[in-house]
Amino acid sequence: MRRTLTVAAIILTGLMSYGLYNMKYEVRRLEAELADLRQQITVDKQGLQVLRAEWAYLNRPARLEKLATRHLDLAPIAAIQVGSIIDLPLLSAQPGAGSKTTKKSARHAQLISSKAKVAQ
Amino acid sequence: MTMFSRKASAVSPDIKPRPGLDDVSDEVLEIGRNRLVVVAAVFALAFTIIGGRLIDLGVWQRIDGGLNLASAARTGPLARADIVDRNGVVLATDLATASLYAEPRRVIDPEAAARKLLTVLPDLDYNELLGKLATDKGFVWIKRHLTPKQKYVINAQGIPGLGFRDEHKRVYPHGALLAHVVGHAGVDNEGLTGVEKRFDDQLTGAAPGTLITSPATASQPLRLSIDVRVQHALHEELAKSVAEFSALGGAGIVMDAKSGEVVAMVSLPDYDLNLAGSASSDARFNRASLGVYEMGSTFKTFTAAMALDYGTVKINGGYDATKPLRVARFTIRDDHPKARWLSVPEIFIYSSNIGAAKMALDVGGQRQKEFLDRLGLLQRSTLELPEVGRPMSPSPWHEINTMTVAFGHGIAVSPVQISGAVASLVNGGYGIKPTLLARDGVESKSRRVIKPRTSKILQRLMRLNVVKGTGSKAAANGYLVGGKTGTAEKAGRGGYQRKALLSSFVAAFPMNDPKYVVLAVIDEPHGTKATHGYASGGWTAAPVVSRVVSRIGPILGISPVDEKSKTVRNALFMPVKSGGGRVATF
Repeated sequence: MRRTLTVAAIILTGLMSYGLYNMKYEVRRLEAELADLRQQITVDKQGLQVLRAEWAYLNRPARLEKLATRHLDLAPIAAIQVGSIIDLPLLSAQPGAGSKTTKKSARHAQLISSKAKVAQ
Repeated sequence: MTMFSRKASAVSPDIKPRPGLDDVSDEVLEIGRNRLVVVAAVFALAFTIIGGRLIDLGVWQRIDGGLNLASAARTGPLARADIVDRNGVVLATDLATASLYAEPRRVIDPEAAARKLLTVLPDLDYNELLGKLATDKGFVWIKRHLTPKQKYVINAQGIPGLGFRDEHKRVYPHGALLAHVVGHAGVDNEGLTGVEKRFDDQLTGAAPGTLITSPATASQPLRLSIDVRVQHALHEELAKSVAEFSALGGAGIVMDAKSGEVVAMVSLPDYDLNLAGSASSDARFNRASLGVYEMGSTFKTFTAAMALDYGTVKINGGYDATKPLRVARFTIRDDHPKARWLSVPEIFIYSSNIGAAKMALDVGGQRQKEFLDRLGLLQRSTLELPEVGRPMSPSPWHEINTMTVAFGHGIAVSPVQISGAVASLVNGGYGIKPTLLARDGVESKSRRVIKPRTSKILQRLMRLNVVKGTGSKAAANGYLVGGKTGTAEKAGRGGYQRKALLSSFVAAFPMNDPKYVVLAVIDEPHGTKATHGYASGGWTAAPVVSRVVSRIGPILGISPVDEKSKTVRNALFMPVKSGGGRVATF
C-alpha cells in the first residue's frame, strides 16, 4: 500500500515536472513570438508613417497642378459652366410649341443660348 | 527548549506512569516526535503561504502591461502627433530616423574613423570631425537624422566606438505652403513657432510638466481649420502679385464668415519648414497675425457700419465733402476729391476721408471706441498662434483720433483682426472669434455686434463698391464679390511716406449670403505699366481677391449665380442718392 503510494507520487512528480518544463518553454516561445510581432508592428507603423508623409508630399497642390496642366486636357471650372436643373428649358419652350411658352422658360432658353455662345 | 518540555509535561497526565529506564527512553522519543510535528507544521504553513501567493500572483494579480512597457521603450524617444488639415491631409508628421553618435573614449583610431565617415557623410568637415573624435569625452553627436542608406553603410564599416540612437524627425510634406500656420519643431522635439508651439503639450500628449511614457497618447492628430487646396490658391495668387508689383511682402486670409475658421492664411515671404534653421527673420515674420498695420480705407467699412448701427445717419443721409477738413494742425483731404455733398454710399464707394471723418464725429469717440472693441479690433486676437500682434490704438482718444481712425489711420491692427471684424459685420451681425482649429462650420451666434438690418445694408454697400466703385477689379463673375479697398501710407521717419504703401482689399462672397471673407494685403507694391503706375489697393490687392475667389469658389462648394439676373440684382440693390438729389442706380 505504502509502496504503491510512493510510486504513484514519484510518477506524478515526474509528470508534473515534465508538464511544467513544457509549459515554461511554450510560454517563452510565445513571448518571443509576441515580441517579434510587436517589433513588426512598430516597423510597419513606421513604414506607414513614411508612406503617409510621401503621399502628402506627392499630393502637394502645386505638384498636382503642374501635372494636371501637363497631362490632362482639363481646366478649372468657370462659373459659367455651372448650372442648375432650373436653368434647363421646359418642354413647352421648344420652338414648335407655339405661343404657350411661359415667361420663365423663355428666359431659360435665352440663358442657354447665351451660355452656348460663351462656350463657343 | 522550555516550551517543548512544558508541552511534554502537559501531555504526560494522559500517559500511564512507566517507571524505570524504558520510561526515560519513551519520554525522549515522545519529545522527539513532538518536535518533528511542530517543525512539519511550520514548514507546511510556509509552503501553503508560498503556494497561495503564487496562485494569487499568477491568477489574480497578473501584470498585463509588463511586456507592453518593454516594447514601448523600444519604439524610441517621444513621438509627436500629426497635424492635419480639415480634410485630413497630413501637414506635419514624425518619421523614425537614426542619429549617429560617438563615444570618443572608445574610438581606437580617430583619424581612420574620420576618414571612413567622410566617405559616407561628405558634408562633414574633416578637422571638426577629428576634433570631436580625438577628445576624451563620453558622448558626442556626429550627425542627427541619417538616411537609412547612410545608416546601413556606416554600420557596415564597423568602426568601434560609434553608435546609433533611434530618433524622430519632424517632416513637413508641404514645405513652405503653411510656414506661418503650422510652424516648426526643433531637433529635440519641442515646438518653436506656429501651431507646433501653441499646441506643444497636446501634440506630445502631455499635460504641462509631465513625462511622456507612451507614444500611444500622442496618436490623435491635431485637425486644423486650414484647407490645403484653398491655401495653395491663395498662396499662389498672392505670390504672383507680390512678384508682379515687386513688393516687400504680402499677407492673405480666407475665413469662414460664420464660424470664424481660418481656411487659409498666407504671409509672404515665407520659408520651407523643413529648412527652418536657415530662414531669415523677415521670412519668419508672420505678417498675417503678428504684423500690425494702419490699414487705411478698409476701416471705412467699420465707420459706415457704426454710424448706420447707432443711427446717427441714415443710408440716404450724407455729409458735405466740399472742402478739406482742418482740425488743429492737421488737414484731412480726399484722394479723389468730388468736392460736393456725398451720400453715405458715395462716401463708401469713392472712399472719402472727409465724409468718413464727419460720420465718426457724429457718433463720438467713446461710442466709436466701444464699437471697435466689440469687433475685436482693440484687443489682441484670440487666434491660436504664439505670433499674434497687439493692436496699437490711440491713448488718450482725442477728437482728431476719432476722425483719423474713421479712415484707418492712427490705429494699427493685424490682418487677421480685420478679417474677423469684417466677417462679424457681413454674417448677419454675429461676433466671431478667428480660430485655426476645425469647427466644421459650426456657426457662432452667441454674441450680436450689429443689427441684422445694418448687416444687410453693409452687404449691399460692399457689393456696390465692387460693381461701381474703387473695388471693381475684385469682381469674380458668378460669385457676387463685395469688398472695400484700402491704401495706407506707411509711417516712417518724419511722418507718412507717399511712396511706401500698404495696399489691401477686404472682401466677402457671395454677397447675398456671405460665406467667406477674403483679405489680401500687399506690402509696399510698386505700380507697373499695366496699372498705369498706380499701387493702390484697388489696383494691386483687388485682382488677387478676384483670382482667389474664382479659384476657391468651386472648391468650397459655392454655386455661382448669374450676376446679371434680375432677382440677384434686386436682392443686392442699393439706391445711391447723388449730389443733385437725384437717385442714381448702379
